[in-house]
Amino acid sequence: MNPPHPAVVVPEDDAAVMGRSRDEPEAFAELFERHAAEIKRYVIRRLGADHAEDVVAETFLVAFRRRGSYDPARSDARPWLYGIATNLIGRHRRTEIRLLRVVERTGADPVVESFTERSDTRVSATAARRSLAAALARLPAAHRNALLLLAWGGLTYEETAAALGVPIGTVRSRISRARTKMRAALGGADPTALREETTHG
Amino acid sequence: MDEIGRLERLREEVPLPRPEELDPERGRLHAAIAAAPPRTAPRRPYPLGFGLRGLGLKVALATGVAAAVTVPLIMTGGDPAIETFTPDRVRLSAAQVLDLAAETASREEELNPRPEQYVYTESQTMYGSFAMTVDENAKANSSSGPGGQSRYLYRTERRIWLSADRSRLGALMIKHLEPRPYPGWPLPAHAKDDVGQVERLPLDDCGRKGPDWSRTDAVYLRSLPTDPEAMREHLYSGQDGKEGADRDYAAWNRAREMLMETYLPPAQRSALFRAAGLIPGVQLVDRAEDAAGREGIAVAKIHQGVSEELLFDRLTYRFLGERAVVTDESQAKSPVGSLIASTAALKVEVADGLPDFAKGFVPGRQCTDVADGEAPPASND
Repeated sequence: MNPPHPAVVVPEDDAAVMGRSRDEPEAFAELFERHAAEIKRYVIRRLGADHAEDVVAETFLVAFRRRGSYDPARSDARPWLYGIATNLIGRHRRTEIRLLRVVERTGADPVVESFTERSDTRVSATAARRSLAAALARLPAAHRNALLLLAWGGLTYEETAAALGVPIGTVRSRISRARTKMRAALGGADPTALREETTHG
Repeated sequence: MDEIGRLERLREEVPLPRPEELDPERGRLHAAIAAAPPRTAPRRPYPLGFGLRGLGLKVALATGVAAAVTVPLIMTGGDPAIETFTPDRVRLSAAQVLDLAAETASREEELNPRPEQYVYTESQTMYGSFAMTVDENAKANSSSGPGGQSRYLYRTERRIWLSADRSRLGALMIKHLEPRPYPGWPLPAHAKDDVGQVERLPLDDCGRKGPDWSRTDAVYLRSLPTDPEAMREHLYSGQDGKEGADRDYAAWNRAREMLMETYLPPAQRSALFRAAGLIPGVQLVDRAEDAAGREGIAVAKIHQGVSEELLFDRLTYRFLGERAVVTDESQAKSPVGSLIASTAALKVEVADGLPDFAKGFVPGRQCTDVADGEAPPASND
């Protein structure tokens, strides 16, 4: 039986595989094996499992179609793939907000429930979760995209800028403002957050 | 812990998917890869010989059936370049699916129309409309694509009455639905001119009956063989001058023409599906939706960068309709995965006569100034 992927002594970087896939389309499958799991986990965290399959499939189909325009100077394709996924996630913004609102109102997270059997009833964890979800839901989409690529995608500022196609200074400013709001929500110092807490509590 | 640390822990319970949990996404990617030719492959020019809007209608008038070369699509709006469907390969073979469809067809009801009766069908369609703008300033016109061409997808609901033995006038009622942009092309301004209008038209073959192999009237179709091999010969008949892959594609088209806006009895229908499975290059596509939004499974023949498909219900394998999906952007001039045609066969019945609106139609009146080889113009075209 053959292994799923042939062993190589010196692995090609993503740019090399991408370049090869222009003339050998089947080479692109390697990029899926390298990154699809990580991208899918990210998409699930943002939209839940129901929408993840379509978004991830479409992400790689779009990437495959656009492989000819990939910048060969970028050895890691993750920022590029995250950027495509982010655009597609944007088409489900209402779903994302709705899920965050559920967390905000109930403390229970439908995105997580299908993956965990334990019911986490620790009050402090629940309270923090509700505050975070409430703050995330209120961020402008562009700020949420930058913040979550950093926190959940594990991208650097520079990679986030590449993913979103904006200057790094823009990313810094978006994340800085988003962090301020998250901090306020967690500290309860933000009167807006307090009022929301009272309304829905 | 700072806010980033807390955020990192939010939903951290979501696990990294296992490889097999990525099978659906992997399958769709591999289908797209399989459909993409190597970059160095020779490219054939896309045929732009089609006429003006209303192509499907004119073909219908000329031959008495919708012998559409291309087909319809359902999109939910938004960016046409993104709103696409993609073929998805599955484990069943195309021939197996066609066998299952043949089994289902063989159990269908026998309508047995008499020669003086009519076959009435209802369908929903989306087809491409192609136009070459003759205006010299066309290139500066923002609603035209490259070279002054324009394309869009026109959508209609069709109700058609066809003489069972093609001896009489037929009638066609078309309701024009909201058009869609042709993926990758701007929607021309005139595309919406007819939206909401209902046209009621006579169908007159103007005395041009055509050779037997091209007939799709009910009386002729029930004379066809019920043996798959003999049906295969029928699909390949009348192909003087065609060779190789062109013959296979022509045979595939013949099969499609025998299914839409016709009545094909169970025995011939069953034979047709098995015969289609004998055409080289026919392959399976999963996750196909017809023009009415019904989820199906499709068998496809790829021709000039387009996957031309017959759709079947995923559970019963009943025939649903057709679809066309781009597999090669350079040939089809539209992004890979774009749905550029889609139909849904919704009803077939036997009618004793034409509808009231057709009572005043006079045979031949439509035929006076028709150039040789062309269909009469539609009433408001």
